[in-house]
Amino acid sequence: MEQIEPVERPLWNPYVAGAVLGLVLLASYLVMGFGLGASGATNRLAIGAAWCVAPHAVETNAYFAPYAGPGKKILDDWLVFEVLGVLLGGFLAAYSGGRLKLNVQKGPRIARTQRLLLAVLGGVLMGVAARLARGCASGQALTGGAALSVGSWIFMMMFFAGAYLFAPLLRKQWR
Amino acid sequence: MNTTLLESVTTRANHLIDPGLAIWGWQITVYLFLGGMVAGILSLSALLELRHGKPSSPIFRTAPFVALGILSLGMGALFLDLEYPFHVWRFYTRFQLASPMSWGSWILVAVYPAAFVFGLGSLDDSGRSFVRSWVPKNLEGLYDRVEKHAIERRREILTGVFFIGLGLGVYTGLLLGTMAARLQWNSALLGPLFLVSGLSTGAAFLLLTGLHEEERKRIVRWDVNAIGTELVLILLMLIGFGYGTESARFAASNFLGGPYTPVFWSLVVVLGLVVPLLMEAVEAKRHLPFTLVTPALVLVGGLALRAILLAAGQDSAFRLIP
Repeated sequence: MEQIEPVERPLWNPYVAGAVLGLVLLASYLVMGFGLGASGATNRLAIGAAWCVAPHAVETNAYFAPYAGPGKKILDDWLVFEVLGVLLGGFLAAYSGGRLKLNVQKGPRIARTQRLLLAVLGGVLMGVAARLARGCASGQALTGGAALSVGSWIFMMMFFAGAYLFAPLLRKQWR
Repeated sequence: MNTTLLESVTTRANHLIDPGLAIWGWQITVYLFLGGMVAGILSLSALLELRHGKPSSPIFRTAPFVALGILSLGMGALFLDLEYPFHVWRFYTRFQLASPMSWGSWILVAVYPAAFVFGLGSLDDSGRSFVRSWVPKNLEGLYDRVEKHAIERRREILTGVFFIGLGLGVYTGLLLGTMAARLQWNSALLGPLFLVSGLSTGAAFLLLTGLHEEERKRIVRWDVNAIGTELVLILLMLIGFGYGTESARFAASNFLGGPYTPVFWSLVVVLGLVVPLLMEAVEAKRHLPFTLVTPALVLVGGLALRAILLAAGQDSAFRLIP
């Protein structure tokens, strides 16, 4: 098969992308009646997986029980389908931008395994924190922020404060 | 009134006749999916050769035999679903003009010899010698005559296989479409819808095998047309249901706010049709390298279409409509 070298197209202007994301949020409210979210879908997937392995433990846990159990459709939720759409949209964007390839984005001095371990650790921390905060950057900051929820605005400020505080510690991983 | 009881009385279904009202499971989904895909593989392979001469990509030498293997897997799944599998032969004691199952049984029987003869003509000399080495001594004369016809009457065979493939594709949809008691299936568009979906999944299968550039472009172009037609047919089907009788509107509501809405729109329409269509369009416009993800998404969408329609159909039986 003839191989054509893809021509990478420039990335979108982040401010334009941000404004469009705001419109996506508006459309989500109008069409589905719900805002955007991400960690909620991961939460459901994780509880669903746990229920497959240890149903009794999940059904007797006060936090997990409302989600999973006999007759409950844990994946029948807007966020699960929305995240599927995010994956597809990201894939389509990468392909149309000529950037579709399998790679691990990392700094030049860090090994691939170490980078992946750090990413998993970061993901676990973020997941636990998002459940404690009852939402993540999209559920709390974007959706709650758009609804002018005070808690969401406090979350957003703390979110940025935390990022600025810890970024210097991890900056060398990217240099 | 109890819905199940109502249907039992109305359709005369009871535990002595039909012990269950939703009795088709994964086996029928797999059968319809693989049957449609085989229809696509056979029809598109035949059409490609009819229009552009013998294709050069390696898969086309063996595609008819591969298609028969896939069809046999599908029929194996169908066999698993049968309550009395050893009564199958009774289908072949007669032909019932008004029965889609009778049509289907005979089409399936026609596919095997047609695809075999098509395959013999597609193989190169060494391939044909290999096939011949498996033929019993007393049948060699018959085999030689078949092989001679397979090569000399290629054009007629290709035309026949093209139409048999279309028949197989339409039949998988008509099988459901003629069951008026199932509101979700009560549409004449189901036959054409399953046919274009079958052509699209057949194209996807061929694309996954790695085709030569020129042939890939042709198959992609046909696939774009099939996916576009499929989207139009789905729209027409929903419009037809939506502006139909009370029962048809109930069928439409399954996909427009009802329980099958999320899976139908996300897995079938967006993941299986819109995204692959956009990717194929973008690929051609921006000269991007071909990615196997596009046909893989088409296959997932094709399987989801059948699984969802099968489940929604069995769920949309006759009931009291408020």
